[in-house]
Amino acid sequence: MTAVAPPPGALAMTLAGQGVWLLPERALWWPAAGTIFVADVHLGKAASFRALGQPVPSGTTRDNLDRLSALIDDLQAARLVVLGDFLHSAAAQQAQVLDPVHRWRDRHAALEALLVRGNHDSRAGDPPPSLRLDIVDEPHRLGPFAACHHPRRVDGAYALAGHLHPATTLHGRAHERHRLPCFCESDGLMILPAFGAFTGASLSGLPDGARCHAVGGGMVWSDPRGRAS
Amino acid sequence: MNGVSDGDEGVGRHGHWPSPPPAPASGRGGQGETEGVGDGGGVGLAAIDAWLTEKGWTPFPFQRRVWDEIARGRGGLLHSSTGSGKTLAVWLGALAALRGEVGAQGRPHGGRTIAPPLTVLWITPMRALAADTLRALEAPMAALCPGWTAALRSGDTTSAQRTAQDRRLPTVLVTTPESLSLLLSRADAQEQLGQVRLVVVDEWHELMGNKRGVQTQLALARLRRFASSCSLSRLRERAGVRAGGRGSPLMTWGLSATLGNLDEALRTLQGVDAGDAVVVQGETDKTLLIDTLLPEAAERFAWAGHMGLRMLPQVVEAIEASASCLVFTNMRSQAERWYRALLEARPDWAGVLALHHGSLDREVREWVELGLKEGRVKAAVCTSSLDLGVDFLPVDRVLQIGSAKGVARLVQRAGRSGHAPGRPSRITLVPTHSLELVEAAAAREAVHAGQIEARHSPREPLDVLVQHLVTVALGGGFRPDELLAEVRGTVAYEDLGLENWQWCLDFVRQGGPSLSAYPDYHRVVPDDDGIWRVPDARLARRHRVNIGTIVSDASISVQYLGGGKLGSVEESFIARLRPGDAFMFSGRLLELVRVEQMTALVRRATAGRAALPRWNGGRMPLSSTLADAVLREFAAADAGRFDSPEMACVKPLIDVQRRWSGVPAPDVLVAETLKSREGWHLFLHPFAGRQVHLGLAGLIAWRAAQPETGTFSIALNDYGIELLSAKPIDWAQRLPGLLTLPPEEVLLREVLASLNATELARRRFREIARIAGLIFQSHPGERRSNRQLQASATLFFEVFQQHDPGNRLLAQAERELLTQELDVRQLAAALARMGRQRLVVHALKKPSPLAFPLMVERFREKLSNESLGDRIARMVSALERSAGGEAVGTAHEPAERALAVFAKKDSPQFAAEAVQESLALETRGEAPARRREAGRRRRR
Repeated sequence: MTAVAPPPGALAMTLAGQGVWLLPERALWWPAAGTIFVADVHLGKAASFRALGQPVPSGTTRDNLDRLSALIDDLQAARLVVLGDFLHSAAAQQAQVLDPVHRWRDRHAALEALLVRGNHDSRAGDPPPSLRLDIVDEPHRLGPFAACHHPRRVDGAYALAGHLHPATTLHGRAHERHRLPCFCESDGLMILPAFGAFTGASLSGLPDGARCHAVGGGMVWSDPRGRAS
Repeated sequence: MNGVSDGDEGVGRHGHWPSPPPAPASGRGGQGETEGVGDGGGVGLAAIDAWLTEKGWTPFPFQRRVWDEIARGRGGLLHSSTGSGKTLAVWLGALAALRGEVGAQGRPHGGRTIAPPLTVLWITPMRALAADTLRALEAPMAALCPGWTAALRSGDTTSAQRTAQDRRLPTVLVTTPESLSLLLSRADAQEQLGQVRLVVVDEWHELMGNKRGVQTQLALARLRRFASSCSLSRLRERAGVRAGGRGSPLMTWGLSATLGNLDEALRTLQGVDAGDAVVVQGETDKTLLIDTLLPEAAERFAWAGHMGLRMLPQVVEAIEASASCLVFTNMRSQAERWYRALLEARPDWAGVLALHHGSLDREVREWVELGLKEGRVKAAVCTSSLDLGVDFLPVDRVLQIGSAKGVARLVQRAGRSGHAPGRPSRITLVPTHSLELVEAAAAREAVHAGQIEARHSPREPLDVLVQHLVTVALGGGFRPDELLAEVRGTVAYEDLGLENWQWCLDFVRQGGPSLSAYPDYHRVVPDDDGIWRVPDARLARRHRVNIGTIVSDASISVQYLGGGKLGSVEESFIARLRPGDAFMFSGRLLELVRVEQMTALVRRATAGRAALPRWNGGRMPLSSTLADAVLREFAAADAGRFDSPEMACVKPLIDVQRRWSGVPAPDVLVAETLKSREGWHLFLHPFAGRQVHLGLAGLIAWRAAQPETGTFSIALNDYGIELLSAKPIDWAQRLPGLLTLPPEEVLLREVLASLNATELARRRFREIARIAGLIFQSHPGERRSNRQLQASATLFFEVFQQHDPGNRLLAQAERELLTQELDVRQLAAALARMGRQRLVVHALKKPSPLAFPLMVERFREKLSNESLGDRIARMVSALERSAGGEAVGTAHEPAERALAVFAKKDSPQFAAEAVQESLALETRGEAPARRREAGRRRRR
């Protein structure tokens, strides 16, 4: 692959000997393989809520797909890897949600798309074959990486995972405080922030001693506390 | 008037009488039969007299007056001091008037007697009160209406009891606003509730000013409608005694001891068509004694954080000296701390010292209440959980730790003591810092001057209306035009515009005005006859479980491994603990073993450091009534008058304030500036109360940031505000320009603009989202069955902002901020007053006594118009500098840092040791969680 200049706001680093970028769009870009990793898209979450009687306005699916398209176009990506929870629930398996997803897939017909089953996918059922997603179970090896949904260590590979929707809190002078989604880096494991809109983020359950690279203001901010112990 | 104060809500001196002694006033002489009573009432009143004669009691005039009004079919509001006999006034009147109508004996049916249908609803704001209210009602009922049945129904009622009630409701039901709404959501609501003739709302002041009160107003409107449409003709025919009045045969009576605005309270209770309802003013001459436990020496640097434990020896002494007393604190965590400290000071009090707060298990609370009533408990450390309610006869003194924050609350709490004949109510204030000495003196002045806070109903809260629409749709359904008229009959919604009404209808029907915004979403749907109903059984269940307007954080129940239940704490607190960590709860030192399905399993911990749970909320602002009184005390002190013992005690503080800076007065606005390691501080002391200060601080910060950009950290308390800028700013030069009062619409725009940069509206939205049914309360012990539906209020706020900005619940969050949280009218008044004051700016070398508590105040807002990216960059670069260390934020950093500045520069004479000692007490509580966290991750 040709080396594309890092997009603005991205944080470059080397994982398992490979150069990768953490993108402020809450995605991880592996240029050598032309691959974008995202986690926890949760398509159809709003529709699931509505079906259960909770008024969430529509527009979040469109928003998610538009942001995916922009990434794919800008980076000229050859492959998209979804680290689990592509669909939120069985209620997402309906035309209202899947039609726009099909149109999105047709727009990127040449794209290779891979889904690592997450806990929500298991409940929602696999997306229809017409979406042409390669659906695999974790851990799925891709070169030196292991694509996972649940954060875990994988022998002989560097694990990329999601599931936790990690967030961190930054403190400043004068008692400033911001809670932001983050990439959570620990020994042999990178947990990606949730990509989807209307997904929320959590401060709890992150591995001890992890470095949290916060995402905010169009930037990924390197955790200044040094390497994970 | 001897013997008057013994008049008590049903308490008896006779052995067989179950609870508080009977009203009646000795030494008053018999009253003649009152005139103007209708026939039915006359017969009934004769029965009361016979019963009273048998007991040897004589009623007060105000009680007779209430009986007469009820006999005439009138509603009203009875305002009379605690323990003066309000319950009997209304209850005997009701029995007299209604026994003729519905029959005192019940109806024979087969071999049994069938009690009359539900006729009286008695609404109490607290579940804890329900059982004792029921007992107080039962005795006269057994004598005068033996065929009636009575029961209670609240969140504490077991499902078996509920099921039994569902077959046939009792004649008299004691319940809460939430349980009443739940009854209204039953499909047969009209049938079950249509024959209610009297609703009594106890402690109306507790409900009137909040959304629970709005919920009650809506329920009352519903009941009036049921009553007039259901059985009007039949009742009229049977009763034959109604003397005009308005259409509904339903009477409503409110009871209260502490209301400042009686006419408004009456109208809010009765609805806009209040008809001939009356205010009855009862006895108010009960003696009230207010004094203060004085510290040996008042600290000149008062820090609000140490919970007043320095006063422990004096408090022990006061408890020792009284037969039985209540020790009120303002926060549950403070109650835990004090209970523990008292037990450590007096281990021999184990077993007679009790702890009572709202998060403890019901059985624990009931045990304490019973112990108080029976006189087995020497002292109970408690929170607002014991503000209301039954009379604890043996209690002869109330201690109030820290400020009571308002005159009404002080009077209310004082009234919990001195119920025994001939004894006054006595409340003793225990200052937790020196400035509360001033407050104590001010509070006594205000009580003696009869200045009690007014309460107002919230206006048009759409979240409550949305909930009510669904409730009514479940409870038999509604036609929009009819329901609109009914809803507009309440004071809260009397000016409800058609647009808001239509939006609420659209919201429950299809999410919003646009059909396409919420595809496939429906909650309430009109049927073929145009009746709006809830077709989905799952939604119906979910709504019923979540009815109500009390919003608390997700809570986790705390339970011993062996199964014993202790109570509940907020989930966010448990989330910060790890197995093995110790925390203090229910007065015990506990070790967390593990968390399972919303239950924290614990065992007793041996010793060591323990975290102290924090419950959010409960931080009451100082009322402006009391704040004004405080300022008057300062003014007097500045003029050299230290009349009361409290003011004499606090004189050293005021002297230092005068030497280093200046003393505030009604005509002098004191501002102070300081440069510290933290940045550039401004302290301003308008004494307008926390609520107004919040808006004022935001406004000043926003104006100060105007020409360029800036981020300010804001701290505030009831006396003043602090603005702290990390970038240089010349406060003295800028200040006069920052304090101007613009025309109202400009002010509104400015306040809103200053808010947009804060998290306030977002936070306010949490309650709205919960009441409107967007998010659900999780109940302790409950399995998370709705996992698919977990979304935070923040997420809803964001998704509405982005995809449905016209959603009126967003606008409501803004409006509640302006009218309730910030109170823009009072803010404008405060600005106007500041404009008339002489502004004096003092440059401080070190924090003054008034500035110091602000520096260590932990409640901080921030306001910024810098971009998020700039702010993060600044924070990250600060982090870079301290990389590897643990230099960043902890909850106590401000206090510790302020202390560092202060201790370095200062000599021991400034009581640094005292503060340090207090700090040690305080920090011990949270040390484990905090330290670990700092090493792990930055979070709160």
